[in-house]
Amino acid sequence: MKGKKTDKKEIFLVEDDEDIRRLLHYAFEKKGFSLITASSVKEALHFFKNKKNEELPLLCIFDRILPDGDGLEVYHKLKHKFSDFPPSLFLTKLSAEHDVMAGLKEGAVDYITKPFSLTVLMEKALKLLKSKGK
Amino acid sequence: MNLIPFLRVIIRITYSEYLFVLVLFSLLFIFRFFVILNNRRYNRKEEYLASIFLYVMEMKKKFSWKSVPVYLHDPHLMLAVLEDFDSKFSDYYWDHLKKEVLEKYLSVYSEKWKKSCFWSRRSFVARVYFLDSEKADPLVVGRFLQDKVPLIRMLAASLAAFIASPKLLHTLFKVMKKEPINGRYAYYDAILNGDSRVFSYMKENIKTEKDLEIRSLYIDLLSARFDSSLLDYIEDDLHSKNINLRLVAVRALLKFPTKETEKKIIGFLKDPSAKIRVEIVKILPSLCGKLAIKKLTDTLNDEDWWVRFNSALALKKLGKAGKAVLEKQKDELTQAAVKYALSLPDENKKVV
Repeated sequence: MKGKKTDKKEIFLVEDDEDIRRLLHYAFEKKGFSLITASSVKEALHFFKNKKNEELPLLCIFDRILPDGDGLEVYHKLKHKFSDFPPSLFLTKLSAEHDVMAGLKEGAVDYITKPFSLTVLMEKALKLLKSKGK
Repeated sequence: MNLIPFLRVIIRITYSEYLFVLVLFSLLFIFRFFVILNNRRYNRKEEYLASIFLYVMEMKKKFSWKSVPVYLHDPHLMLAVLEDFDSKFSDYYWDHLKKEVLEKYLSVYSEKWKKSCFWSRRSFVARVYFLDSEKADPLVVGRFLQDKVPLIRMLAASLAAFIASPKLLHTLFKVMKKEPINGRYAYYDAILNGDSRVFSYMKENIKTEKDLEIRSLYIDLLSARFDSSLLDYIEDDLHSKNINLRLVAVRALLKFPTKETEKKIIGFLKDPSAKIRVEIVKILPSLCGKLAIKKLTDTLNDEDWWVRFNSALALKKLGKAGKAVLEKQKDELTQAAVKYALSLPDENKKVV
């Protein structure tokens, strides 16, 4: 798991692709956020293991196809574990209608499919954070 | 463990044989070492090139060739990284970068290699065309469709389905027809994922196409999209003398089980081809309730064993009423199928 703990507002990303992690890391840093990244289901669950509701990140971004499982399952587990789980987005290659519906029905705010536009993703994420007053 | 026979063999080997084995293993080791070294070097280069591309995108800068060291000027490496990025990003900055690399670097190689005798180079050209299909040369794609290497033909099929010009599609179906049945799956995939114009082309041409093989391809592919207007064009095919065409047409008909088509579908239980009768038997339980039992009881005594077997399975699917029919069967011919069907667990009950 990468990303140092700072006083900055945290955003959490589960993504196994290093290029995307790096690009989003830079983009969020530039906007004043700190991006905590995990590259697998195991790492993601480990990050949330000892967290309390007030320590949760402001926004979560999940990839679906991870080396050790499905990002949707991680989201499902975390949503049931925390009463106040932050708004979440899916960023994935799975673009079939039933996949998108599965993500949205689970409670995700948006479902972005790859190939994605960084500008659009950032705009959506920032708007979401703004609407939450962060 | 008795080691004596093994030791005897070792003692009998001469020094020259030992030396030969030693040299052989050393050569294998050296070869493996260089393969690993080369892979690592390639991966490092790939990572470096990816980091340059990411830097351009992060900084929202325009791409400059000066930022790419000369040793990274490898067309295969460049294409691999470009393809990888293209599957992830669709930014304005990425599009600009991609265009720049394609126009100023990769297209030079694709132009040079489009008539190459090396299949890896022809595949390179097809992959470059994929990244920029507007610049793809239809003549080259048409030639690739008839390439002797299957991989190139399949890449070209995807390209043709993407470009979707009538001439290319005409060649595509002609080539697809010649492929063996198992070799056609890649073409099906290419067409189903291709441009919607391919389906308009097929819909337009199905009215006049005389080649039975191509007709059956059109019907098969169009029915995959569940467009019921297809039924207007397959009336003659449903009664064709060609079994394959008739089978494809019946399969298409089965995708639209309405009250109007029901009678027509049941009529095919008397088709001379067992393959077609099996298709109908399989769909009967979901098509018509009580009538299905009566029809399946008849087909349980069909002359073809595969029809009898599928009838038994279909009856089992119908629950208690179907099971009762199966249990009444005493005909020796149907016994094996009936026995197997009855041994299956009920579908509505959970199997522990």
